Amino acid sequence: MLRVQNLTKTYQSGGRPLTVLDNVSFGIDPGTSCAIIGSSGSGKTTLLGLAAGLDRATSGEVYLKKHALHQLDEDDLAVIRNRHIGFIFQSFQLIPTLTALENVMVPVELRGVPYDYVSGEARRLLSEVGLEGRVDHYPSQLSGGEQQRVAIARAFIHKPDILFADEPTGNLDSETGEQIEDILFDLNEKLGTTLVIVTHDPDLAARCDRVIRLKRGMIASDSAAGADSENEKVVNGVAS
Amino acid sequence: MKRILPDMFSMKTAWRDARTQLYSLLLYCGGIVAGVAALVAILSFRSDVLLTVDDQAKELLGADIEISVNEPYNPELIALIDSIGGEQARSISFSSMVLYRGTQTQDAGETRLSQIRSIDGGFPFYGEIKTVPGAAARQYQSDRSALVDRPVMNQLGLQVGDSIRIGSEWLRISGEILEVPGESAAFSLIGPRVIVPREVVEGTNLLDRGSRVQYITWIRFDETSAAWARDHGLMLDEAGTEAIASRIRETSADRRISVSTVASRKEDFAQVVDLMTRFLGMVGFIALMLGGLGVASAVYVYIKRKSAVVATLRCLGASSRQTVHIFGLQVAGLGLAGAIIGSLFGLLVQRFLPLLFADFLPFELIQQISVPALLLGFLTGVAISFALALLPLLSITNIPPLLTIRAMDFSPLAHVQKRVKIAVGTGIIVLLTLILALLLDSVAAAAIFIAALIASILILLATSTLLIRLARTLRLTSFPYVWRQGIANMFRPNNQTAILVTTLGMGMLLIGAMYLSQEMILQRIDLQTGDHQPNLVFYDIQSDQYGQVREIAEQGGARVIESVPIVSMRLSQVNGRSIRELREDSARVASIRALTWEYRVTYREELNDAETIREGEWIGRSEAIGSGVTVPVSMDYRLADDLGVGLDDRLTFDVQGVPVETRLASIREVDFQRPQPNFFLLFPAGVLEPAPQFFAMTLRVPDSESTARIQQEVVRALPNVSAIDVGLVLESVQKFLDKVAMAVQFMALFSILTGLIVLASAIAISRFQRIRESVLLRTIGASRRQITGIQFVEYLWLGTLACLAGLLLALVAGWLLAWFFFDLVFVPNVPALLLASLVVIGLTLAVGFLNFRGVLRSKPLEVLRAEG
Repeated sequence: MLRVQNLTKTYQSGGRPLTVLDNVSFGIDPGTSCAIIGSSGSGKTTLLGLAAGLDRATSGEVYLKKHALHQLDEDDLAVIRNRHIGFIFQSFQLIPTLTALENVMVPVELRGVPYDYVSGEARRLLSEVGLEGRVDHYPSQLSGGEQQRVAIARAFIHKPDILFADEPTGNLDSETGEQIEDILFDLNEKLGTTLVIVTHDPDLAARCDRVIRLKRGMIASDSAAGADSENEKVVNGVAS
Repeated sequence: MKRILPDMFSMKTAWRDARTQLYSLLLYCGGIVAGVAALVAILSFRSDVLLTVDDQAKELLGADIEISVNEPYNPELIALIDSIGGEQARSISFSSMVLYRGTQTQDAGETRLSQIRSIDGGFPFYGEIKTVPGAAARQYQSDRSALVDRPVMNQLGLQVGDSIRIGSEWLRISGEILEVPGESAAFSLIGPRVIVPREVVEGTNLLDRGSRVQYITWIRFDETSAAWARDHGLMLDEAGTEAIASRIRETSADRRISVSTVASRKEDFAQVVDLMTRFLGMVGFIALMLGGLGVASAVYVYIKRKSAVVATLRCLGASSRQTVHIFGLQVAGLGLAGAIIGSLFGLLVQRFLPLLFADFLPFELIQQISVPALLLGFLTGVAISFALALLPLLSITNIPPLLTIRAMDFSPLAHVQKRVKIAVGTGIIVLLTLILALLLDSVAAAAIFIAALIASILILLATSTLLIRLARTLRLTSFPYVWRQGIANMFRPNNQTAILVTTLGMGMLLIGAMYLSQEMILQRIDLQTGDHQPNLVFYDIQSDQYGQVREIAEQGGARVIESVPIVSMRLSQVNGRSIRELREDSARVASIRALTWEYRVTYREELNDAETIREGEWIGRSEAIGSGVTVPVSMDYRLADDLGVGLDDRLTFDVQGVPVETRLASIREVDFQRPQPNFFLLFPAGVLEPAPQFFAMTLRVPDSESTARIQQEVVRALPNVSAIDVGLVLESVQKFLDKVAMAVQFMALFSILTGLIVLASAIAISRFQRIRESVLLRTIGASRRQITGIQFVEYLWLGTLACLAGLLLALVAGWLLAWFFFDLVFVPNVPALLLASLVVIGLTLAVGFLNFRGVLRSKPLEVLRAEG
């Protein structure tokens, strides 16, 4: 589903180059879930951005279902995102001037599908995440947890092949966060989407099939979730 | 084509995104409302005036044809006029002193230099002379009375039934003149109009002695005229009337006859109206440009605030084109809404514009909605608002989807490629030039104006930025927190302080510059009337009257500064070619006016202080006429240019029937702004002494009572002598300038209004920030009074900086004008400028507080929830 090869990202900071991601390579199989964890500044958000086609690497390649993302322009990337990718953000990123229902429908409406065809599915999804009574409410009228549920519904409406979630529970309390996690994994299982979650929460990471740990821009370990330490793969000479 | 037009998603999203903030969006577009209103109002007014001129063209002239000559008609002309037939009226018009006296008072009355029209016949044939009482205009000829201009009647406290004296003739005032066809009320500022029967003037000696007189004949065509025209292969249509006019002009060998037809009068008037409305239209255009800048600034901030939304849409799969379309539709909607509101407002203003120009219009205006004017104003508003918002719109394509996961302060505009900025900037300039070229009917004028406007805006923007930076450096550590916070508020993120100061400042610049120019014109005149300068001038004094005038003046306490002999003459040949020959030469350089003028010439041995020789040599004495000598004369350079002559060219003058051969021996530069008799043409002494001549005398009189007394005595004794009271002239000039200034100031107010609307819009944009600031301050203990105080300080500074920027530039412009053009020491009227500034600052405070009302009412919890 997703293959990343020799990915490097370097920024200029104070006149000096700063390597945020250093020669990272991995692949993710379809239908699996993968957590990318690491401390703050480890490069996990950068990696997510590159893998999802939101940013361009300094060098390296990204393949999503055989689409070479590194060779596409911005508009082509947008098309890929619309067709194959779903997103969930830490700060929800709902469009404040659209209702919950309208926010959910955006990815499908972008394809030119008429309102009447998509609104039914959108309502069903909102019902599935427990917001059937809030379809006409604006984000400012919803709590953080409710907003994230709308975001989840939006992420799944177009049945993406892969879903990227960036700290999906980062702005929520633990109880709400758990609810969101349940909804996320529930829907993911139903739809068979490949899931990539960036998180610093080990409990959330443990729910995934696989955990990639980043340290100083490199993969420190890449293991199945819950695997014991002897089975952890040491990557790039760095043991976790 | 499909990709250029917005798709359904873009249109739906544009509406969905806009619907919750319609009020704010409307306010953003408010910047162009005032400018569109100004344009629509002026263009509609122009259309109304031209429509009225078209409709009432005949009333403008009062006849089908008007013939005017400044000498008695030659036999050929008389014969032609007689043969044309039709209904005819005649007039003799000239300026003369008139003594006005009330019957209720015992005093001797007051004299004024007045414009006398002595009429016989049914003029005007179209329209009417409006008087109070109404019947007076129909009866003054039969009852041998006078009609007098209303302003002078009011000024001197006269009523119908009082008397005037013209020459030695006393006449009863039978009516007040309200309107004369083809003349605006401002006409009477030159001198009060007096209409009397022609027989009154013919019986006096007023025309005998060197008066400048116009002999006018009006003709209304009838059957006899039609028959005459047919006999000569003409019709009485526009072309035929023009052909008749040409024939009339040809009856004078030197073609000194002025003939006006309805068509030519219409054209003259239309040219004046065009000039006036184009000038005012430019002022309105400035307001629209500033409004466009305000909209562009608002759109820039709006787009920046929408960066997160754009990034999210890009993440979800929207193309860059779709995101540009979404917000482009909103901006286009803004422009449309602003233009519609502005157009409606403009139609309202159009109703009231006639009040502003009432004194300059010689008729009552027909008003109607002009679709072309409305369309042009509307489309201009839409085009300008969209064009100026284009760059912020295009910057949307630079917003990266990465913003969804990476928080950063991203300025879309900063990432636009330089070549895109240059292309858009060039496109905007071309568009603005084309629009203005449509308004001014000249691409060259439009290009120059746009260049000057852009330069002014940039200079104002730079001045504003400099002042803002200076304000920012003020530490004010000893000032209370409220003052320091108020100043700091001007520099909050995404502030529009520079644009606000620029738009408000431009209004101040326009009004300030115009006011200073007006002051300098008056000051220039005033300077010429200082203690050592003449304040009373007598002219048309005949040789045998000179002694008497001098005696009366000196006995009255006046000091004679100068006495100048004046001889009338006409040019008959230039370098051996007759005037007629020159007029018919299409390749001639000389102007018709200079060729056909009646020259008033003096002679002396020395040059005076107002004259400097540019070329050649001044020869102060020559041989008498008839001695065979070619007289060496001196000419002002402007007249030489007009005539197309240079040193040693030969000019032959007709001095009351005697030909005088002259040679241009020198070319002078004369300072005509000096209040003394100055002449374009100067003869040496020894030549013209025996010629028929009259005198002008300049006097310094100690006070206004003596001036009035001396005037009255001279006029009573010698009715043909005219007088100019320089103080009164200054007063008239001031009144005239005031009227012109009012019209320009009214248009300049649209710029101020634009600035205030842009201010309201900027406050609306930053509304949430202000609420947040207010809530935070209240949370940590600030009182409502302190928060209000902070806002007061912020708006006070905004208004002050705007006035400062605008006035600084107005003062620089004023100084430049004073130094290079008026040759004055620049002393601005500070109290007046301060008053204007206080008004603008007051308005800024009012707008600010009106928009801040709701902020204090916000509950902290709502704000904190929105934050989280």
